[in-house]
Amino acid sequence: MKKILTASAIAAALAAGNAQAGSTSGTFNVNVTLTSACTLGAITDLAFAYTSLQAGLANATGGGFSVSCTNSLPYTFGLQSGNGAATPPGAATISVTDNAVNLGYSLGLSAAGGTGNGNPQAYSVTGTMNGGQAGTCGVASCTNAAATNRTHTLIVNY
Amino acid sequence: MRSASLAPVLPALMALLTGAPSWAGSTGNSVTVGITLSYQGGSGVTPVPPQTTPNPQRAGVSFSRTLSEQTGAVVQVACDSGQFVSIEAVPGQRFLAVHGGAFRYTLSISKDRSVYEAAATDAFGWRTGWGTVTMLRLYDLTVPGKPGDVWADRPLELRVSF
Repeated sequence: MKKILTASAIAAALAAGNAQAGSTSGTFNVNVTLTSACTLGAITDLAFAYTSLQAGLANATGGGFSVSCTNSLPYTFGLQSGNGAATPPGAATISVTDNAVNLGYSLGLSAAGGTGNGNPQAYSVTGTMNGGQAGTCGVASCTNAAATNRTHTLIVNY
Repeated sequence: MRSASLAPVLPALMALLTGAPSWAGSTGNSVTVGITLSYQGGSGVTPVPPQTTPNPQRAGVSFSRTLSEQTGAVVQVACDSGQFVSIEAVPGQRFLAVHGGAFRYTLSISKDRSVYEAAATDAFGWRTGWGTVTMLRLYDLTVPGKPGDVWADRPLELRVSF
């Protein structure tokens, strides 16, 4: 009799350890706000090598850049003369007459724009200079290093 | 009546007007355009050969201004073309000048650029004919440093500038 009582007490004690009366639950949301954006990398300088009064046009070298945008985000490019504050969307092409060597040139873009894929996408600013220009240079060879209008702005609109 | 008929259209027009420039944002960067302008036939910074117009009867003749035989003397020659030649010992070495006809310096009358460029790139440019310096006699007064050294007439380095 004494042994039976002892076993019952142990069973009661064990059962008391899991004594949950019940449970309830609720749900919650995770809200995400994604702000689309594009980042524009550095642009390689364009370079023209021009011989005064040359017959054909000259194409600039350089001008490469990359842009990274949010996946599926469309974007366009625009150009703006000078390096002042950007005023989107800019123009597809711009024409400039360098104020150091007095040569006119046009800048354009390898593409009007694109759609972001989360990775850097490569494009380039293109430059052409018409032939037949004399330019201004007092010695055998000049550069436009002193020009005040040699820097321009590329705008990415998204 | 007209205003009543336009009323439903106005919101759509407004939406179109405000929706046209619907850029979420923009970013920009600067690009620099460099230009190198050269003249036709020019070659950048390639030096232009000296344009000498020597007298046909005296072309290439140079005259020594000083021909001292003193040790350490500097021999200087002015040519009738205006070219100036200076010959001296390399610093730190002794030089007894020259004598007995000394030397001859001739100026090329060739205006061929290839001759000029060959002379300019040749360490011994005088061999190309664009100016020649001829020594008849030189003395090296360096004390013999080891057995077998000859007191005179050993190779002597000179610095020729013109």
